[in-house]
Amino acid sequence: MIRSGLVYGAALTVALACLNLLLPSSCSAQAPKVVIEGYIRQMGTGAALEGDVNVIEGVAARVVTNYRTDSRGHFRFESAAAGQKILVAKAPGHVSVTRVLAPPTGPMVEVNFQLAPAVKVSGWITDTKGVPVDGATVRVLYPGEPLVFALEQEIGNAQTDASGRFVLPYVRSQANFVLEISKPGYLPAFSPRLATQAAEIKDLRVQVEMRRGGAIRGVVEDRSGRSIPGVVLDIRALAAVEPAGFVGSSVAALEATSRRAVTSPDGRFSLAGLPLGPVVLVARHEAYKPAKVEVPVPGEDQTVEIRLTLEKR
Amino acid sequence: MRCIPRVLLPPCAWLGLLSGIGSTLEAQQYPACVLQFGVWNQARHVPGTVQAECPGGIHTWPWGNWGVDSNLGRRVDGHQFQGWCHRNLVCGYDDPPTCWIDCTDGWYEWNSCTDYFPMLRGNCYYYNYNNCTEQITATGVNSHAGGYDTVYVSCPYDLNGDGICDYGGCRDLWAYTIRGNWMYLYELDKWDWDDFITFLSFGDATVYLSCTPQYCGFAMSSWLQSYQIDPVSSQLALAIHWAAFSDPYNYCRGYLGSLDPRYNCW
Repeated sequence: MIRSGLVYGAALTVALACLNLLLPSSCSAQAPKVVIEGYIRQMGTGAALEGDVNVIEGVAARVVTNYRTDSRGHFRFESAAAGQKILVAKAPGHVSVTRVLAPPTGPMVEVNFQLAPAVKVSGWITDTKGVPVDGATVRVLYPGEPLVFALEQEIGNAQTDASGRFVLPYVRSQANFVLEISKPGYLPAFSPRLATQAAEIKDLRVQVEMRRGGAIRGVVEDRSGRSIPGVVLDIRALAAVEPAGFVGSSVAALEATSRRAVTSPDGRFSLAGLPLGPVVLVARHEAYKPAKVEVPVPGEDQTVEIRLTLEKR
Repeated sequence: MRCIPRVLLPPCAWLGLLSGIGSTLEAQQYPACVLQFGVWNQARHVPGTVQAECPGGIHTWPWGNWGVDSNLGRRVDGHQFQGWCHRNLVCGYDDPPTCWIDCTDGWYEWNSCTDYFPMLRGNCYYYNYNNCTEQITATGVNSHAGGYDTVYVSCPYDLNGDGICDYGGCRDLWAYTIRGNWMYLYELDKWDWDDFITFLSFGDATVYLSCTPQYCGFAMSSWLQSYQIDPVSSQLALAIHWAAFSDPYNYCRGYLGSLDPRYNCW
């Protein structure tokens, strides 16, 4: 299924690229317009919510435009008809809702949103020995849901204090979720599945296994052995670190596997917290030809030393 | 209106023939460049009158931590719009004066009840700027909003056969703009409704990105001054912290790379 999906997806994406539909809508000054309007209401009661809608468009020149509703929760705006649009509706005290709109075919599109009140979740993160996990970032993941556009305070990005305490003020009600925990030098950790059944969850105790990642450090030189400062190293770890069901939706996993380092004035660099397994480094500098090298990160808390030589352009 | 230069694309017209088949891919399976953005404020200044946390209530008047509702952010009890009172010594008018340490909650707070006895202008316990007649922040940059955006991009590809991707991926991204930025400022109350302070609006913030196919490093817009200066003014900027290419199902290197070696690059 995925294989056939990949075939069709490949065809579609490349075809779209060939048609240059990846271009920003800012090129379409003379292009047809579409009116998009609708209401933001509270889920369950249907009560009008005064809020706003963010519209995200374009690729090369990405633009986020905000439209506020009136007191009846009504919004209306005109936009270029071409291109996909992401609409994110929010209102105070409620969790936002995201909709992805395909390019409209008619002159008007109605989009209505129903927002549920937010649930505040707070608690403590400890490791398997019961030691508080301090200085970590805690985020919320919803199973089976891709990361399309997320507001920081809703996805979390909450920092744990010295006691491992965190507060997430905007978690969805009546939802299953997982907490992802990332901490410098460590691999991302994920909680078991949790659920919001009440209006507020206090004193949640989450125990996770915090494993240290591996590290790479090294030096970049020219052929004469002179170190090169300012070399940009894009580093991609190939191991999967997210649990099943969260592939492509975990920020912590992306942060752990896609990294960048820049060499210091003495041509050195170092990176910690890398997943174990193969890692590809691509080195770029305007005066030198780019180079790539694949190295294994052998184990937790182990460091790989590398020496990379760049050729003059 | 000026058009953005078109993204250089590899030869791929033959695949366009297949485009009518449609797609069964889920959204997260497409190659994307995922970016983290933040909306920052600095130079927070309160020259005018604010009367949100005044004597008579149950609160620790006149001090308060301020929160921000904005076009891309939610009000939280945090460091969204820091003031200047942080474990400050404050003395009364009695003789001998009674003194105490105020603003002990860990925040940098604002005098949220100006022009009210004993918080009259000229009293340096309650104002910290312009001969103790105005307030100005004691801290630097704050982040009041932010988030993550998944931008679907073309697959990275190699033009010169060295196995290193030259175009596509995150390099498709050129600029990121947030239009019409605004903030509603509130004095935050744990035990009561938050008190509205004022509204601030700003222009459009644009960040110009410099990306490789795999990654975009930190970049930020210029600082924008709020259109309002009374009772509160501030500056705002947009920052892109990072952007990273995401292809969790190995669609580019795995599938397209098996059809065309130019996609089999890093």
